[in-house]
Amino acid sequence: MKTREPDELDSLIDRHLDGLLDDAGRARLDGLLRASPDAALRFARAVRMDERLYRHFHRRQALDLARSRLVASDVPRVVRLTRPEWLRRAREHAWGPAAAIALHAALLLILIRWVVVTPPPTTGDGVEITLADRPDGAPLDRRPVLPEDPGGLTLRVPGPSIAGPPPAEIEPPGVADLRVAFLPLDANTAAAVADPSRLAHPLVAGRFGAERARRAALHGGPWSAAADRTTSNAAAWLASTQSADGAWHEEGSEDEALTSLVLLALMGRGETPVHGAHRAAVRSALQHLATQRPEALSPRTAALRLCALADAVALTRLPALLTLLDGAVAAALDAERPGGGWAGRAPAADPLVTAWTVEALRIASASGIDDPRLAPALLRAAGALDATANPTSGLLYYPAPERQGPLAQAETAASLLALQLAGEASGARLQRGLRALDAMSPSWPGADQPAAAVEALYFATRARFNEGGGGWMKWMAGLAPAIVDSVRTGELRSGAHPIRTTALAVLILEMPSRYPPASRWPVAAGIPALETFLAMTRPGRTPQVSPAL
Amino acid sequence: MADDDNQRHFLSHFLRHQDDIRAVIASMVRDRTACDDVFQEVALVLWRKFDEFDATRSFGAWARGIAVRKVLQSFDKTRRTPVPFAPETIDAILAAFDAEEPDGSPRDAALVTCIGKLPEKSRSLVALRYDEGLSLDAIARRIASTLDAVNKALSRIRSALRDCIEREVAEAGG
Repeated sequence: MKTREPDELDSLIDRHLDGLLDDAGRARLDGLLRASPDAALRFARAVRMDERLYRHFHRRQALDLARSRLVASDVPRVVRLTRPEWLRRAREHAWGPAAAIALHAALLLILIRWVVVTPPPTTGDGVEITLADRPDGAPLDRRPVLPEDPGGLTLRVPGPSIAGPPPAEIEPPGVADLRVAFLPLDANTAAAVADPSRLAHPLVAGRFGAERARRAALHGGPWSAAADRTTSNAAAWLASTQSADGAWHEEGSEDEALTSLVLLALMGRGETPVHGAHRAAVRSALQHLATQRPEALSPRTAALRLCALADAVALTRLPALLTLLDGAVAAALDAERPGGGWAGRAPAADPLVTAWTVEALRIASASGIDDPRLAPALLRAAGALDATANPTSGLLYYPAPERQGPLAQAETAASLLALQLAGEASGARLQRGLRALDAMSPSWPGADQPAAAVEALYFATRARFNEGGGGWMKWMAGLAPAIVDSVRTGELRSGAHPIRTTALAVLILEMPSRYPPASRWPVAAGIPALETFLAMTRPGRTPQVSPAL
Repeated sequence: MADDDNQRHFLSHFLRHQDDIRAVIASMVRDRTACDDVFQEVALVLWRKFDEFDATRSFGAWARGIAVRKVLQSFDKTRRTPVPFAPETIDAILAAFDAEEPDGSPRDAALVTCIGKLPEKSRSLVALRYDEGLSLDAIARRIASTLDAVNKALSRIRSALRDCIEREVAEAGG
């Protein structure tokens, strides 16, 4: 590392910081700082760096402590039971010669009784065949004999259980269970946590490490490895197209909507503002979004921005982002249509805007946003979308005749996703919607296709993923290789909207690890550390504000 | 609800500026414990007076001004050591802090990288000073060196770190 030789001011500042300055030196430093704004600026920078160094080491101490506590809490405790005194004495005396003879005799007697006297075995829950000669010479009755004395000393073989529900699927503890137990107060603390999955909410923890591999094995297929390589390359390309202001620009797209979409794609690969190869891009994009007021954006852009902020909070739990998200959620709830859902012309809500908003609100709710209007708004959104289902076909959720083709498919798929996430639609309704998607082909549209065609594929893929099973596997077996090929041949970037299309393609390929299926989304949870911090700084109490945690 | 909003607003401002507030205090109060005490008092005063904060102004400047007043009060209270700087100098320092609002995250991230680039010996020296909190005198005794040598070595390391951080931030930004 190159070193610039410190000059007199540097030397004075360092001696001041190290407590070595005598009166003459202090007077000299005082004079220099007063005389020159540049000297004062250098002093301020030096003090800031001194503080940064102090914080760097002491935050690490605090994190090590937190980690050691986490590790300690994971070690199962060995509980030793103290034997009663009488049992200990009896055991000691039992090994005397007389006791040993008596013990062996008793065991022998028990064995003889067991062999000679024990009646034929009977069963409790199981099935038993009794073979015996009948004195009257009647044909042998081979019907099962039900037990008369279920308390007998017989071995029982349990019969097959046909009643009751199948055993619940229990997921083994994953990395999400080892999350950092505190709320990181700033990006530096968060960045000091080596494993990003420890910061992430369980909803998004599948984007990292072992959990990512587990979900790829669970929901992926032969296409998974190629998809992973493709998304990695595509993410790098997306990051490289970012503008200096943190946004992405493309003709025909609103900047904030496009920026939010690309952010979602990058964060879907586990890139966060503090971790990952593209963390700088994510950070500056979030900073760009932070400067926008949701009220000034179009409904679709506001919904995408809300989604990106919710995703970022779920990944990092940074309070600064939480505050932003809080404001965005409040704005979204203020913008709700009277009949439920978001945007759109009467009588229907816009399915795309509603789907993005419902998704964002579910993530926000899980990440600790606690607005009493949130849950009723989700129910109303589901009701509004359900009410617009085509009564004739029962298929398309947006029946306006002028809306056909890719847009109608996108709206149907988006409505389905919103209904799945809101968790309020009947199974039959969802099944009819899913059958409507059967008309869609899992193939990548050509470069000349409208952007809505790609968006339709994205929402359809989400809906298929939530459906799971063979439908999902079959869908991705066709779509994923097509996307991979499209990226490989460069076709994806040759269209009119290469950035938007690439972001949506990445989002589709990331599907297995991005979120769990909708049925497994957790209920909302609070973030107690934030409240604790606020309680500590309330007037009348001595705050224990620590720079470390 | 309004109270919650107030808390969240305060928190968002405070979290962004807390490191800078601490730096202003530390520029005059070099004892760590005393610095922590003043910082806690400042946090409390800021929260109590948050209703008086004019949202059109910079929270950082407002908070740093209160922090300096608290520092001067603490010097008045203890009277053990004189205030290290004249009032005009303190104004100049505050103006310097105001001139560059904190953009901690990139610099903090760069610091981690730059510490990683330091030679092992330099890293140990920095750790002795900032991790263990040893005075330069104690460090000199620990490594069997002289106070002057330790002072010079630390100066060079800080200078190298400063340059490295600026380079890293410039590369990340550009």
